[in-house]
Amino acid sequence: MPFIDFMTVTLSTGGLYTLLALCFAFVWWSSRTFFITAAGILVLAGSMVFHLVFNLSWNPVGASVLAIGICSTLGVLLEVMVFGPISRKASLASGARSGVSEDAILGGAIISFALYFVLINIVQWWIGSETDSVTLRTQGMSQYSQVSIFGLHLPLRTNTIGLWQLMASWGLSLGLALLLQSRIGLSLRALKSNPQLFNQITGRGTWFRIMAMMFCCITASLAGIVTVFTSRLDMSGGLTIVLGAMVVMILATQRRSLGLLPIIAIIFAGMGAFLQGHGYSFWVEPIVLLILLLALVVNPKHLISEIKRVEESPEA
Amino acid sequence: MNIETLIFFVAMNGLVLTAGYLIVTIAGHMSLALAASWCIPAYAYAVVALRTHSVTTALVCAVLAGITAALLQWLLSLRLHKLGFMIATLALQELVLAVIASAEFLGGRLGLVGFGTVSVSVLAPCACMLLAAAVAGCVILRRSKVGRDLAVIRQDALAAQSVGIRPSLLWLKVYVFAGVSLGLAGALYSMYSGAIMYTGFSIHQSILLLLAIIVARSAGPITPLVAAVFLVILPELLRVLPLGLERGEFARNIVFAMVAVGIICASRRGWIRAPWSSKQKG
Repeated sequence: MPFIDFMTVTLSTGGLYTLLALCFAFVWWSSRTFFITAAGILVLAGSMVFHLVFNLSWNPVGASVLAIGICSTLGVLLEVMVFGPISRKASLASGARSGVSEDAILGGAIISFALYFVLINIVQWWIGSETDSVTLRTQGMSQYSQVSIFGLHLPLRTNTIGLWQLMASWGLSLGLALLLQSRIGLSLRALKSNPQLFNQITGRGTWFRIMAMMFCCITASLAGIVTVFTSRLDMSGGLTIVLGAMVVMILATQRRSLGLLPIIAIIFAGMGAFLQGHGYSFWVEPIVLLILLLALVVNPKHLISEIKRVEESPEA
Repeated sequence: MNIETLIFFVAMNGLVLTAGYLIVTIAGHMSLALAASWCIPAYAYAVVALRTHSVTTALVCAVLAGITAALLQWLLSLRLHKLGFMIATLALQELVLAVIASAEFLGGRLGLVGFGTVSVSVLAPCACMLLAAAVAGCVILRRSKVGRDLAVIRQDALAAQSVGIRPSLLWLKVYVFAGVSLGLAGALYSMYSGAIMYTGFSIHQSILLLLAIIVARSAGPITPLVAAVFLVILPELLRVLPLGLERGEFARNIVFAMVAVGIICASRRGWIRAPWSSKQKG
């Protein structure tokens, strides 16, 4: 693989992982939800676009807009009807001084997995589970071609969607990172320390949660649509992508700094591109998962440390 | 599916769910690596049966592999708890399948075939007896000192440790029991099918097993049996509707997931306190 192709693949995949990881971090900080349902939303959006474009001959842009609209509405509904009430109950049950308990986080995660399972089964019901019908083969949809940037003819074996993906993912990631560094970011830090107290003082906890969930669903559906247009998406593909982004989020927030996030995403994407280029694509996922396991084992208290500190603090 | 095969599937799934019940309910660890832990002994049986042509040796190896798979999770439970353990087992599940799919001696993506099958008329009674023994073991475990100590740990781990109860050793016993159950279930799977592929043990299977335990958790020690009956019979019952078998399974999965979500949403505290919450608050 030529170096410039390697860099394009690395940066576009890294950008997607960065954006997804930022969104998951946004959801985690605002509601302590391990939002694996996003994997189902990713597959749902991809399948929807595939069905509308291939079977019903819709315009790809119109189909994408409709899919993103439906998926973001679904995310808001899930937050309002499922995750929000659960979190409120758990906050009330765990006492006024504390934030969200570990059991409530676990309950939210189980619900998230269950909803992912529901979405995946609905999509399979709709499309079928045989390999031919489940695999969303769209290889011929966007032809690979030589492209030029600013008049320079570069030997890029990529497609225009790949370039759009590169620009959109890094642009959105930068925007979200700047947002998290702004006044909204400060509010988010207060919210993640004690959601109940934050909601009592500002009354904007629910708003933050809905925004985070909606943004995450939009990003997940975008990722699904991009995957459908550029390569192929199967039923477990959504979980692989989301799990990769979760790994980036968990590893990057070990030191509670967002600066590590794009670096880790690019390292993983580069490693993936390198291994794929040398015929070892199958080892990308095991290596990433092994790194996650090691990170969790080495720093086991990370995911819940902030909550414990709030509970134990006499000032809280 | 005839009645003999149906009973066999209930008993085999019951053995897997017994392991899940022990890990999830008795030890209080939310594992998402149940399918992978079932896959390891199934593959162990297939590999040994292919090389030695001895059912007994393959069965022993499968049980040992099941114990090893369970002990891997036990090792994780020593360092990680609650959500951390759940994510780690999710990673373990995917890791095990990825390694199996890439290992040439395990057949890679094509799986293994040709290690012989055992008639379901022989397997079904054996599986039923094993399930009965496993359920009896669960009842005995719950009423024994180990079970009582584990209940104390689930209520308040810190208080339990302060009176000299060592959770890790108790969990070890539970995981070994679960490992034996998984090993037998894996061996039964290979004996019945005569062919094995890693795709049958995906993360979706793990999620389904976990949801089945949550849905049937109020049945006490017979939770695995009740969950297995629902798991196997529900798609068959849905056959009366014009859905087809495959859609019947999807409908079963959707029903299980929605019921589990409903159970958690309807709980007073926003999560299922018993059996895996650590401490009552408020």
